[in-house]
Amino acid sequence: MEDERIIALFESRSTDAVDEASRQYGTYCRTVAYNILLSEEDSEECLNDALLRTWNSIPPEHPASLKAYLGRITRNLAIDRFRRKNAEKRSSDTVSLPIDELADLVPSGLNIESDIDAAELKEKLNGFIGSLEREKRIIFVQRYWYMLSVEELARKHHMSKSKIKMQLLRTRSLLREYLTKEGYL
Amino acid sequence: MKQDLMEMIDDKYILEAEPNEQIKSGKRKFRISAAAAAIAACTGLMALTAAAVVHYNSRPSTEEYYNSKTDRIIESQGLKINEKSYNSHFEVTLESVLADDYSFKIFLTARPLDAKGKEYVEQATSTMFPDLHLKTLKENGDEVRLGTGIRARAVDDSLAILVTGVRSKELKDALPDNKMYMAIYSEESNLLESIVFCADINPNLETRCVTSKDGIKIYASPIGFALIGKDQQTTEKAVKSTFFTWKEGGRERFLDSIGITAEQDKKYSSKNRGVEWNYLILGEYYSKDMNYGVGGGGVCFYTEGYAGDPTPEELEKGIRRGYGEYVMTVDFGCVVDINDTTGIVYGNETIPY
Repeated sequence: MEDERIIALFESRSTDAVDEASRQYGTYCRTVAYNILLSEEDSEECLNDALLRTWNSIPPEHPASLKAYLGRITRNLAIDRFRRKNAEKRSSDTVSLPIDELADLVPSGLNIESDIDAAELKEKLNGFIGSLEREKRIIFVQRYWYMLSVEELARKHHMSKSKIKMQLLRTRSLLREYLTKEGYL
Repeated sequence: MKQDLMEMIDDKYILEAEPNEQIKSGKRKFRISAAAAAIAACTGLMALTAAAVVHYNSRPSTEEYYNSKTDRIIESQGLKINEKSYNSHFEVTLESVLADDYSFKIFLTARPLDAKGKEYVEQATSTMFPDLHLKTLKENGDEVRLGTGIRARAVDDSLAILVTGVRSKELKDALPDNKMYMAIYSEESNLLESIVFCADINPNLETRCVTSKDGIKIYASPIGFALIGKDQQTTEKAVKSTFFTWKEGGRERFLDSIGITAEQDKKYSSKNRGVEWNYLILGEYYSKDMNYGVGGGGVCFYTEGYAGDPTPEELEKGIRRGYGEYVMTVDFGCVVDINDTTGIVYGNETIPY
């Protein structure tokens, strides 16, 4: 079913919208959540929460891509859940996510979600990502958006783990240089 | 709180990098063979053995999604089917099929037969949307995507299930005899595995089909009506300018069927025109304890078949995929006597039957 049709169902407040969104993108969202949480049960709960959040946000929201929209919500919920669970463990061994490797690339004092300057940074970041070679870009996004492990990336892209690690390191370094040049770091 | 730089990346890069292998939660996936579908087709639906008979107090799904009054109407019109199919965990009853010339609704109830089934239903009561999906099949067991929707609700000790669909070109091509084989499954468990049943979706409701001067087709039946629009704008405009004309007392009988008082009717009819009024009174009706009932309708864009996900470039340019049509649908939320309506007003045109 096309995105527009499912969005129209949300907008007409038909609960078919949730069924259709789940049928169409449930597996995708579970995968997004599972890559972060490594728990089927938690991933399922994230999916349910994401559907409910979508039900509450469309309308007024009208996303261009429902798949990406649901994926973003699921990912954010999964990250929150991961952080919460990790904090509850009170363990001295902190468990991190791949995105933590990018933590020092977020300009200090900038609130990504609300600052006006964030819009400009967003444009620059997407410009940078768009300038990468296609495979490098996909590996970068699969690592830091989909949170795939280095092992999975190596298998998917038929490369050694060390080559994947090296490539990610280079892309991060390039991004750091770029953001420094643009005055963000 | 750690900030996430990747929140900022564009949709097109997210979609481009989607990993192909996806995690499908649940240990076992639903599988159906051609043989299983054929067996179900040949044997019909087997009777339960005496030892397995369990008595339930749960309401049929027709009553759950409509109300007891409408359930009695469905029964009195000979539209109850009550065919059963089962495995060792669940008994699924095909309660009724309500089908007009444009759309259909299939009502099912799944009742647990053992402790595992019962546990599944108990767990489902804690979620707003139980994990149930539908596979539609041809007679030979091949899966066919027909754009049908399924909703389920855990009530008391059973699952009330509603399957909805429209007679798309794809459906007509795939099911020329209107026999739709179906299997309900859960991605979380295999408890409903191997239950296959067949619904006859040949029209069993009197349908009026009229065409406006500018070629807009409107189908009206006891369960609701559908207007096939030309484009999004025209179809959305039709929301405010399309309504039924009723025989004397017909409108009151309809309102009585869904428990809307004259006062409530006045509140909405004084301010809202066309089917907007229908949507609002249904909202009022469903807000009582119906949990959305059979739904209200709305303006949708239907494509013939699955058109595929758009590429990032198509997304950026807002290009639609596949041939489709805009449709405005209205559910009555009950079963009305279509003879209580005399015609339809669309825009400035009154179209009698």
